[in-house]
Amino acid sequence: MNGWITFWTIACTVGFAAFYLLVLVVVPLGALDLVKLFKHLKAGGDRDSEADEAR
Amino acid sequence: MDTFATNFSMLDWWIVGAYLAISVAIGVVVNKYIHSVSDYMLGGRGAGTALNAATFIGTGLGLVTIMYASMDGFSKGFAFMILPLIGLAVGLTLGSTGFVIRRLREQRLVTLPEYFQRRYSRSVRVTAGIICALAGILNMGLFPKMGAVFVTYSTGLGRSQPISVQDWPGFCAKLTEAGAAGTPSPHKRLFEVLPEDARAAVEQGAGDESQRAAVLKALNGILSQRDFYSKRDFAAVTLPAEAEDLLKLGPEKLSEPSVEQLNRLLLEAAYPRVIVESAWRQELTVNLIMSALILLVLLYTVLGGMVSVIVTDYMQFIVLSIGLGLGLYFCLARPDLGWDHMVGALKQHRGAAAFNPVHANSYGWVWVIWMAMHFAAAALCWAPEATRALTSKDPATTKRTFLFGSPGQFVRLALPALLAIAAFCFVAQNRELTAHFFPNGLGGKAENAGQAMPLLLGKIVPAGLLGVLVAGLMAAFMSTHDSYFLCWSSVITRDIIAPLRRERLNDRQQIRIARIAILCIGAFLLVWGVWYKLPDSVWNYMAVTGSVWLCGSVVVLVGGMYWKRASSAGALAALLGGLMSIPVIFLPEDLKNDTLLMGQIGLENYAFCVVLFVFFSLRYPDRKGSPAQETRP
Repeated sequence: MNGWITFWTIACTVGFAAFYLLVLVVVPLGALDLVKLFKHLKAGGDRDSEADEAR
Repeated sequence: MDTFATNFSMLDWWIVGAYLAISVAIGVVVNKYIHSVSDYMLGGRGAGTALNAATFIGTGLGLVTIMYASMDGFSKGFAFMILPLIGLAVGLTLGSTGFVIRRLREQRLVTLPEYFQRRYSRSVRVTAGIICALAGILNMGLFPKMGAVFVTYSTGLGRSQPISVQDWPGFCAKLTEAGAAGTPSPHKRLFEVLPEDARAAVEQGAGDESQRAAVLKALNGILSQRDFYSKRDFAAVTLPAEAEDLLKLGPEKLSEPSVEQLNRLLLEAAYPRVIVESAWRQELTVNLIMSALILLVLLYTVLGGMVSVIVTDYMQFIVLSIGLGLGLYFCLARPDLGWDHMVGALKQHRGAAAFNPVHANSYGWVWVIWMAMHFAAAALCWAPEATRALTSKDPATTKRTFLFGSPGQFVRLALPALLAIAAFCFVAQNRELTAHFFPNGLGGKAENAGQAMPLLLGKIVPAGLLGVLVAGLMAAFMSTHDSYFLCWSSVITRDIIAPLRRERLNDRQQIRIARIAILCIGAFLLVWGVWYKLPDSVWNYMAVTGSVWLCGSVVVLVGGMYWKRASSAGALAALLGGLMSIPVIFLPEDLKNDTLLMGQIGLENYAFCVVLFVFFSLRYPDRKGSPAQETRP
């Protein structure tokens, strides 16, 4: 049982640390992506839409 | 102290309200950016890696996910953490190899079943569309109810409500008359147990406020009396099933909240429409809140499509990360909780099975293997999440989305499970709560597991911050619903209605049909999801409804990409083979809680679909010149 306890302690520490590191990166970069997305949509969005339509 | 009271204050309601209003406003504003069906259903395929990863996690981190993870974490302990680990492994594998997802993005699809028409035939696409939408809509049927449980217990709406009287003259007349009579009746019993001042007030008709206040105080005091029920006095009253169940357990063995509930039910049964059915009123309030939330999500999803989903999911990802992080901090920082206390409580009361997922008293190998299959299949084929493979701006971004999103796959299940383990530790230190959640002792089966984690958060997170946390979890509720609404409506529009029509649908028509489909799904949820009674086994319900689509579709998708001889007949047979999961939904609850049996059935269903796919593909190959022949891998 002690082996499992050590395992879950390490797994949780690494997992949560990785996630909150990701949050620190994704939040500012995501905001930049959001700005780019709106520019892209303003410029007409995905122009190949009609070609992709269901046949 | 009221066992179910929380720190949730009016300030917290304002924070939640402000957040919801901002979400809807954004959804409405982005409507002007929608120019084509690709903009509406895929956000113009313009999302970069960071944004796509945030929305990918936001979609997966739904309130229902948090609730079922907390329910299993509460009863199974750290053993449940095997599921987040599987999710992490699947995300890392797909993100680093690009297996299936890269090819899907290269095909510039709007929905997954479109691939089935390109690779197989139109009939495979329509069949896939019908099964995909059916399984998906059934799967989300329980979401609102799970959300309602969270709102009830985190905001303190689950605490005891005071008894109130509707018809004072009628109530007093009946009580005085029965009190003087010799025949046993609930009125006579109630008259007997009333204190002297309340009895005098009743005899005088409780005409003024001070007399009514005295009677109400006495009535609410009776709620906690263990010996209020007497068989002789209540013999002529038809009791509700819940009261009968509590009486079977014996009032002397019940926890304090259960005694209150029993006495409340007895009074309501003895005085229908006179003593207010407060439990029903409380349930009505919560159902109305959840209905209002669904209507808000419908509003911004119908108007803004995937663009509003991406923007609100991004915002919800931030709020949710902060909210859950706060919850975790307050658990770990409390001297009576903390990591060592959590581990110690589980070790003492639940033993090795709370840490070892393959222990004989835990999930077992078969169930773990089934879950590994299920997670991999869901990552590839479960439309709301698989759609994130299609919304990215290029195939490389798709791979990075899955890779960077993999810690999110871990946290979305592990964090609520850890909060639930903290709730277990908290419950173990409180005699009343132990009796409520573990009537047979802390080593026995957990009851009302869904209430534990929200109740803990409501009690340990201070007012103000609790509003941020609840707003974050409301965000989780909304971010899942918006993605699901859009996803199933896109499938209905493009994979069922469009292929069956002779004339081609233009962008405007497709968007209009998708919006109508969203409203229909929303109506279904409001009727079935909010007002339907929650079954005991939520996770199994979700896994089984998911299997209806996943078992067949993953075989058809992977087979279509990597096996040259895959044919339309094989694809149809495998997709229909997935329907074998439907009868499992109707199995008795005790069988559905048997993880070995559920794992065996789940794995056999995947194997059955593989056999059907291979057999029918070899037996009935596609003719030369068919789409399947032209798009072979």
